[in-house]
Amino acid sequence: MSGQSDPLVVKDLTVAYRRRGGVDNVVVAGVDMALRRGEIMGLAGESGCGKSTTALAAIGYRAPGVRILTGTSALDGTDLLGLSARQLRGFWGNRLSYVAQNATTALNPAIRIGEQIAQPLRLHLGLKGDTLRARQVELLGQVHIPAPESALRRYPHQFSGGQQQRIAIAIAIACGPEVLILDEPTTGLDVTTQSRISALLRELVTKTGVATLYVSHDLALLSTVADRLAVMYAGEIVEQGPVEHFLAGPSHPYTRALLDSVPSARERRAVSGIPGRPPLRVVLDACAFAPRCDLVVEACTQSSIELVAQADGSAVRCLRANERSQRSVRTLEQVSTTEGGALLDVRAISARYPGATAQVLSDVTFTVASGETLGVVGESGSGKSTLLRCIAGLHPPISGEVAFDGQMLAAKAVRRPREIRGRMQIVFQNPDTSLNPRQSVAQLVGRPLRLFRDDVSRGDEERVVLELLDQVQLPGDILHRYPSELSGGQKQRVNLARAFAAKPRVLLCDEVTSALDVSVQATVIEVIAAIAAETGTSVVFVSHDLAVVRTIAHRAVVMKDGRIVEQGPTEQLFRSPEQPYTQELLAAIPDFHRGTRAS
Amino acid sequence: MTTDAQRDAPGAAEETPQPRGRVRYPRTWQVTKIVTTSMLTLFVISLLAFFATNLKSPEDVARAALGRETAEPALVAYAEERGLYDPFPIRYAVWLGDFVTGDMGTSLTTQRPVADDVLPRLRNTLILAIASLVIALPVSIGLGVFMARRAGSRTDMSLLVGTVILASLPEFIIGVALILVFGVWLGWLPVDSTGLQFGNAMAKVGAFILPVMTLVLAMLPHISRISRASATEALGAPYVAAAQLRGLGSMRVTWDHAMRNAAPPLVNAVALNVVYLLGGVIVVEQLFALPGIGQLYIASIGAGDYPAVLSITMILGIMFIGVSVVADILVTVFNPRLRAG
Amino acid sequence: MSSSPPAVKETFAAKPPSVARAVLRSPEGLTGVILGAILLVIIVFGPMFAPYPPDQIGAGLPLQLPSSEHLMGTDQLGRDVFSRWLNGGRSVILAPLASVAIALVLGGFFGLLAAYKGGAIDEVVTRIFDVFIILPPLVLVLVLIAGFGSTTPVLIITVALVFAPRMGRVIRGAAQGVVTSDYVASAQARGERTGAILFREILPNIAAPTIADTALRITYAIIFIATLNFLGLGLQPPASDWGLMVAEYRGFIAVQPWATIWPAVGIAALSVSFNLVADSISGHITKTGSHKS
Repeated sequence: MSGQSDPLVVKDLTVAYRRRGGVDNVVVAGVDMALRRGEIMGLAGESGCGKSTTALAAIGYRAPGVRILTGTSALDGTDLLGLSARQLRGFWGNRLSYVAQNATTALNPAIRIGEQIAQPLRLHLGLKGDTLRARQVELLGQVHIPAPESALRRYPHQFSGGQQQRIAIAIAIACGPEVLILDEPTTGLDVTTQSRISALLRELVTKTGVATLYVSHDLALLSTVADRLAVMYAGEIVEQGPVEHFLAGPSHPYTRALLDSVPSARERRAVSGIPGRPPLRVVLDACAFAPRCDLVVEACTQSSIELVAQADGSAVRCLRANERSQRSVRTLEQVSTTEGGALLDVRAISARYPGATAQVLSDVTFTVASGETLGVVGESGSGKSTLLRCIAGLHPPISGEVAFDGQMLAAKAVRRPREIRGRMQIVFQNPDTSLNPRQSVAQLVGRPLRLFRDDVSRGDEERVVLELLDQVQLPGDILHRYPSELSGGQKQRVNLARAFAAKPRVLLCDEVTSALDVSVQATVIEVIAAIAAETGTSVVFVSHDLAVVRTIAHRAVVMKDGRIVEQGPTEQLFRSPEQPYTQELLAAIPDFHRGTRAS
Repeated sequence: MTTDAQRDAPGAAEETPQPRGRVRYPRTWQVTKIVTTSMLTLFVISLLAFFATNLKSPEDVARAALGRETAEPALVAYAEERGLYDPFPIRYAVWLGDFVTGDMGTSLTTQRPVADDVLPRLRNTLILAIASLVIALPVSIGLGVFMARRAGSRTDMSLLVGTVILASLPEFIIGVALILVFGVWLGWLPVDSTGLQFGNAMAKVGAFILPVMTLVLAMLPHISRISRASATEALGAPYVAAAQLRGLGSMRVTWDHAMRNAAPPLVNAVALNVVYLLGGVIVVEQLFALPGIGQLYIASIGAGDYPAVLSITMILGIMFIGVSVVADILVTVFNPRLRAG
Repeated sequence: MSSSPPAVKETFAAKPPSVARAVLRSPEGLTGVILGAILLVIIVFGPMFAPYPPDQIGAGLPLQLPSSEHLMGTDQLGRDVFSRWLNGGRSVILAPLASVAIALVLGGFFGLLAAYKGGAIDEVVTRIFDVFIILPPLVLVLVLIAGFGSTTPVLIITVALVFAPRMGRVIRGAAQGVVTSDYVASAQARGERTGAILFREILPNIAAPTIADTALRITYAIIFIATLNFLGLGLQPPASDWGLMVAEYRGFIAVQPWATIWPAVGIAALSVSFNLVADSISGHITKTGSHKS
């Protein structure tokens, strides 16, 4: 699989975090991979699977507490892992370059970008004077920064997020490296920016032939940008091969389950999460995925599983590769919009931030029918979250009104009658900050019962809380735990249990899945869809992710710059968008099942 | 994917540079603002000080100046002559006018112009304060960065506990400890500052060693802890890892990349602490009997010599506010967001 | 059940560790608590065990070094230093506690008000805090003492005025992070009353930084007031106060150093104990604050 001439060949890489007490926590084990000239290798996996650690270890970088236990990483035959720090510095930024996730923090805010580009050029190539300047300008031109001459004199904060990432890429390719490592280079950027940066990378790889490793949690994105893919789980590569192998249908149960949990913007399709949680370290004597796998047999837990080469040039770490499980993902039938009057009626809402003059929302009008799920999509800054806060009574609008079941609502939640407050519940984006860290799950979920549910007596509270936890697929034994002891997905489900505790008729969801991994996101989506369908609750689901909205919403609203661009039934909107902006958004989304690639 | 290069062309929507953060003001405007703020602070100090030293009735002031036995009419005459019956704002304005033109009034204890007592001593105080700062700042910041580069190690942890203990000690106790060790037990240095008035040049320098050491030790834990905190934060920033991964050396990364960003908050925090800690000059002068304005200040407060108290308060105020002004201006120099016009 | 419990043991800690437990678990905090407890016992019960009245002149010969009769020796007037030492701690701790209590109430009230109300009120309160904070503290206190006299109440109030805006700023900062958090937004959306939000959501979450800051301010207040006593601007002779004793005996340091050393050690140990506790709480906050998974 790896020719001797490949620029970077990693063999048997094992990495551990040193913990207090001296015990090593192995997080990456036995990784083999080779980067080829002019190719992009995609490295995929959920958070904590060891993909970033692998990428950094491969270029010899040891973050504080990281120890490389075994393995080699050869750049043209030189083992980087055997070099001293001083020797490595001669390679880094020169023959090997690294681009970090967030350019806003990876570029030094106090240094002009011209100087930041110049540093590696001076250090490694000894450029100075006019040659240096010419190269600086050339590089910025290569990454399509407008007016490169004047851009050199500016500071990072004077560029947009997308431009900052381009500049970071320019610094990385400054000395003409043989190997380029990108760690989630577009995560956190808007989908249109993301697609432009992917295109830029493909262009650079084709032009310069640099061997590239692209690390991302987003399998769909990687399938559009990479030539080969490797999927990691619990510190091991579980499946790797040409991207065509994955598009034809991956072999490992984890990869398949992961794909089933990725919502699609191309077709309306249910998602299913992967039950359980990944182990936090490498499992050495069994298949790490066995506890969550529905194809598991006894042999899976008896010994470690080898990565076995397949006929199509791929390799899979599974005893039952290519066997298909019973679970299948349904294609959701189109739900007709519920007839009957509007339950929630938002009329001409306009809003601005306190002290600001620019409007965040202008004249936003829509209705939500009883039992209907309305998706609200838009890029960052489109005003979609503010809209939700206006409805919830947390952000008084400057004009317009919200009616609930025909009754006009006060702008502030405190001034609304108790019944209304109970009937409308909100769940926020960040599970880490939306639960009071000083209250137990029982207290958190029990509070709305006491406030809004006269039908639940004090003695019954615990029983009802347990029922609610069961509904959101949480075990009862977390009742007396505190938020700091729960995972992000668990916290978000506690938030949902608390919201449903009030028996709402409208559930307001503000980017509730955007802080979660896809497999966890899928579980949260499943929970919301199931309870909403069962109880007839209407949902207003705000998200930047069109695929999620297509999965869950009956109708959708597209927002841009505080205005509604387009709205309509989800299927219609996604199949034949009328507005150019909606078309642009849809075109920018990478989709695994499309298989078209930029090249 | 529609990946034509035209998408990437300069005009594309994403690429319009957005105005970010607050409106940026030119540097001169920043400096004007800093100076105005500090003048306002000085004004507040002067009001407070003038108010606090003018609480006594005019007759009491006169009695303090002329003696207990003085008869009532003489007191009234004295008070009237000095405008003590005027309304507060007028007396304040008159005093301020005098002070600005160098007239600090007459001392109630020595009956000499306050300026004659204060100005010669000011030199000693300035030597003490400046020498302490010049030594304490680089040593403490260096120590802080040293600790930050080893953050979490045994050395760092022990030094941290050491700074907590040192920071808990009042200056007069640090000073007493130094006197005991270097003055009494080792006998290397004088136990007080009498050498300053009567000794030769060597004795004069020697007289400053322990007072300066005391102030340095008092400032060290505070400033090194702040430096350690800012340096640790900066060293953990992604741009530091990014700079290392471009092959830059570790000293270059620490000082050029990390400390450049750590500097503005560090300068601000250090300035606040320095203002707090320079109060220590008063204590140190008293402890070592060093004839500076701090020692005179304490004596004047004890004796109820209000003109002297008022003048020295203003001088100390100007010194301390001066430190903050310098710090604030340094911050604007270090911060590119304030620099870009 | 779609979610198996996490496999790592640390995550099973029953509750976010309380401030008290965090202090007692760290060696630093424990040292501080033990040291502080010993000193408090000495300060509270010490006077009962004093072998001589603290101001009895000629209890022994003047300026004697420590002996079995006079454990810490005698001073220039022949008073028993040990008896004076046992009596001299009370003023060192009481006045600072009173100052910090006043500062905590004032700073806490305005800090919380500013954080919760936001907008113009926040602006005004923060400005006032800033003006007070930039005033050089010792100069501020000294000039007020010059005007109002050096009595204990004046001392306590002026020192409280120095600390109130500083504590207020810390509390406002801590509370603002909490007030803008989603769990408070969530409580507001439920329509919870201000009181409920304050006591259920905000106060429990700013307790740790507030306690850490309070302990630190007690250290500084001890230093501050001991310094004023040392400067002769607080208690007057013949009172026995550790700060005053250092000032009084400093002149005899070459002859009878123990008369200076013991009161100095007393003040140092007291302020070190509070600072160790404060530092262990700050350490605990940084640890739990940065560990957000």
